[in-house]
Amino acid sequence: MKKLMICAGLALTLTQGAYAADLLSSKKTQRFLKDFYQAMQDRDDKKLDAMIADNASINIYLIKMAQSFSLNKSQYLQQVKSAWHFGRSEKYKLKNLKYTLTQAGLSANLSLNMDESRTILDEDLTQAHEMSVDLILVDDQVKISSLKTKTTF
Amino acid sequence: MKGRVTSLYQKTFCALALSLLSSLSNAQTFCVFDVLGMQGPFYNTMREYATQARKWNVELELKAYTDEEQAVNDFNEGKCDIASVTGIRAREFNLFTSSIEAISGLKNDAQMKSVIETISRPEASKLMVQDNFEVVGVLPIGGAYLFLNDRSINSVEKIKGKKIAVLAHDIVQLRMAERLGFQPLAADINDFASKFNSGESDLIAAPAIAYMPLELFKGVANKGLVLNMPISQLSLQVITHFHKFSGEFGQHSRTYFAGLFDTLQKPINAAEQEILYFFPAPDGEYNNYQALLTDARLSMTQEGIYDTKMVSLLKKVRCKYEPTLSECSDNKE
Repeated sequence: MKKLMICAGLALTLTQGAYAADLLSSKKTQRFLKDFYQAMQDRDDKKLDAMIADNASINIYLIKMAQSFSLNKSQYLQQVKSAWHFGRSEKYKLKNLKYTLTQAGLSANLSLNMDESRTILDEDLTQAHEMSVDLILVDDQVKISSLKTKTTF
Repeated sequence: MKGRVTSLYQKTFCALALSLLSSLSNAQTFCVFDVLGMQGPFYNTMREYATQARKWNVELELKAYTDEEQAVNDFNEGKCDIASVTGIRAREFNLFTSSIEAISGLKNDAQMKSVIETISRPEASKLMVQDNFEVVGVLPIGGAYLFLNDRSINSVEKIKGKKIAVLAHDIVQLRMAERLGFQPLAADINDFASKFNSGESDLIAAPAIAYMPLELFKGVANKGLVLNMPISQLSLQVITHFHKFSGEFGQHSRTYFAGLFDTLQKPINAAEQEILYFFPAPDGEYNNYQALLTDARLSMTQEGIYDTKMVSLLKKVRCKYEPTLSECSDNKE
């Protein structure tokens, strides 16, 4: 019985150790977000799709109109792709990144400011976003579970 | 020897020519409306339909129309035995089937598929014949969306009084505009889009498949948006002069078109993917929009603009998909 308990304890420790190695960290979350916007820049829709949880909620608050819109993942990706179709020369500048780990590293929140610019429908547009991004671990993969942005769009 | 071969060729050619003339004389004229004419997707669908119709011993000779009014006039004058027109125009031939487009009657393409399958069954065949006309196919065109040139028009209250370009010949659009509180701006199919793109009208309702061909992104520009909330489901309807076809043709045809739904829906879904600034109703506004649209549908049904049987079927389908809707426990439709 004692041997069995030791084995079980050892197994638990080993399992936790292996899992702990994949927990979110400051470095990992920041790298993830940079990768996300690099995928935007590269117009890599498959990568973006893999980086957003299927049940993610996206909320866009338009500051000028004091109005918010809630989108699901497919609606958000549709907007990203149509902006690629009609736009060019897009640039994303991330700044003031701050992170908070929650659930002992199983999830995290990132707050940041992002300046976005592109030429779309023959107009040069710039937008300033104040963002809050929730990340979670799904099958050892980091994914966006929530993206909230206040924008001058 | 040479003379005999030439004679054989001549006889064969004559036989082929006679056979061709014979088949042409038996062919039924099919007037097909497609904004893009013979290059358009509807015309292409009908070409495949004509191939299928040969298996039912019906020969169709297609004639493309880019002007729908002309197609309808020619059909009414008997120049066409069969015609494909939009659900708006189908109203004068069958109120039941054209009411499938009732405002906010169906929320999505799954519900549209369900209704088309139901009305294409043999049990519904009586409803497909009105006067001397028979609807032998209902095809999806996709949801009608509101295209706005200013995204600050973001609530039911703000939308009221805005100018909307509507097809002047269509009483349904005129009534709808009035009921929703819009200011209707008369247009025809040729200047409908340009009135919006030039800023003359603040909004229009159009299906996604019109977005790229009519360049509606120019009207929306970078300040507008497209409301990702269909206000109705649009259709293309194939109508015959009832007595010109065999009794079985209509049912064969309806079953054929109902089976094409998923194939026809693909380009519609692809077109929806292209729309820029395609946003759902602003938070807190969806129910307000739905209430406005529902009120408009109820009053238009009372006025006789929509067929009560179809409106009742639409409600059944809505409630099948969303049984918790409050309307599912009332008797208004």
